[in-house]
Amino acid sequence: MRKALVVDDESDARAFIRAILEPDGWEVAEAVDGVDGLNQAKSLRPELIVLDVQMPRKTGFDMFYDLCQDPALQDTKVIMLTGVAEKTGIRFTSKDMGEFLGKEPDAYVEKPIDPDILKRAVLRVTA
Amino acid sequence: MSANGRDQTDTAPAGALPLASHPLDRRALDALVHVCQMVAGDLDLKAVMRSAMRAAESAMNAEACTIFRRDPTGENLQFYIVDGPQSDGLVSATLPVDDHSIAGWVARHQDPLLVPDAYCDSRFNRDYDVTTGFRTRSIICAPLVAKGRPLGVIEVLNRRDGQPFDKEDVELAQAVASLIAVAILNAEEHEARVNAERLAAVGQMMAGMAHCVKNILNGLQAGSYIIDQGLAAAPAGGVARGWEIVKRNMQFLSNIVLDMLSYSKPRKPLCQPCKIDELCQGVAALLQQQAGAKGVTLVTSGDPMEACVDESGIKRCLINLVGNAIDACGDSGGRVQIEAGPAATDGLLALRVRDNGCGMDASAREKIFAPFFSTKGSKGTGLGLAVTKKIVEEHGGTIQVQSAPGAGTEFTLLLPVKPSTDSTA
Repeated sequence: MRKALVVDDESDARAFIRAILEPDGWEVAEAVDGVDGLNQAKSLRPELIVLDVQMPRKTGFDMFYDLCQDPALQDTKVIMLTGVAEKTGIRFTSKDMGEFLGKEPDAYVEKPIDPDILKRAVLRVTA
Repeated sequence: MSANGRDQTDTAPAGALPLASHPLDRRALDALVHVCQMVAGDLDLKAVMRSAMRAAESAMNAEACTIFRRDPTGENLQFYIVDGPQSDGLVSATLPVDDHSIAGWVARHQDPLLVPDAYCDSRFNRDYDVTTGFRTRSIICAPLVAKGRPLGVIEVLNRRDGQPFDKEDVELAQAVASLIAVAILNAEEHEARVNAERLAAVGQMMAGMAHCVKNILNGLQAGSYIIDQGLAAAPAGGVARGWEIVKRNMQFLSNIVLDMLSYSKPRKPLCQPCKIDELCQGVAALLQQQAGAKGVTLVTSGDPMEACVDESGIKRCLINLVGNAIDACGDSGGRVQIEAGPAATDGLLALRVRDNGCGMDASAREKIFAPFFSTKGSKGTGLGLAVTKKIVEEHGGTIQVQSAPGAGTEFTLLLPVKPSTDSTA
């Protein structure tokens, strides 16, 4: 089974994403923040990571930066959830991210998550 | 003008009181100072009007005074306050700005009017006297103008010494009127500022509330998705029917909240490659049940096409347009079509939502993109199209509408297939 890791500090959101991915044949693991997420990513080596941005201990941006440094995780696809926009009015685009980190997430999906949009993003990045 | 500028009598601007040579100098000056003291400083509109009434009465040595304010259309005058001993019956009556009344004539021509004997002037309406028991003899009516804005007129009635008003009284009345007009304008502007601040505060509160509600909706949406999966695996009798009602209303609430949030802040679209045909089909699937309940056929057409857009933003636009189209069809059925394809202009994508519903006339077409304009009464927030236009323009696109009463409506969104570099994802 294809492995996916969902990293989000909100349990409702994790349950939602799990419910969206599992029917499409994904085996889903859950992590509660960036530290937990990085540890699980290293041990599970998932094909796909769905990554929230605002989390305690380690944010999604920080975790993404760490993922990029790990040679064993270079093929892992990352979909980043963006809930930042509503709070600041300014959105980080992957272009901003790319300039900042030297690498971009494979896709962004906006929160609140639209199941159709997440499913299409998953299909696109793991095709 | 003399070199030292003291020769004010000869150089006074037209219409100003030639104080130095006037027999009523002292009285006029005292009266004007008194008016100033009474009306200046107060910013409450009603209080200003009341003080102005009394000040004008006393300055003009008159028995009664009335202020008529222009209403927002400028076509009518409102007896905002009728002061004097026997005038209770007249508060808040209106009369048109035309030549058929004294106040109407002055408001229309913006010239002061001296009526030495009211009952000899055909514009005077004796009904007012019959209603109030007051006997009007002589009238001065002067326009209230401040910063070039006509605010209304002021009427003073009956000199207390029993004599008719004369030309000198008219000059004084004009000076009094101009002071009162400034005080009224100040109070009006103050009131408008306070209202604007209150609205801004309400707006901020609503945006904050919408954000909280949105977070709650995220949880509801997650839960309902999981319930849907459970129901699909094991149908549970009447639960499914009740559940559809819950979900439909949750969707309404979600649309309102998301529209409010989208409208309240500028936003850079998150443009990523998107299969437009699938997006359209997704929207059709989402609204199929709503269409079906009204007997409306909802179809999509167009070849597979990819474009770089903000998928959730464009989906929001389509949900709003298709929702409106379904509503426009009424309850007697109809047809709504979502069509996607390349536009006539290179590099543009055209998304069309067409219905054969009731259509709109020119006056409705002009207003549809203004926030809070709605033809749906309590069913609409009036934000859907305002948000749609905002999202399309944030993409660097345009929105067009073709519609006529009875001939249906077609909205066309023209969007760049590839966004400009600063919004590239």
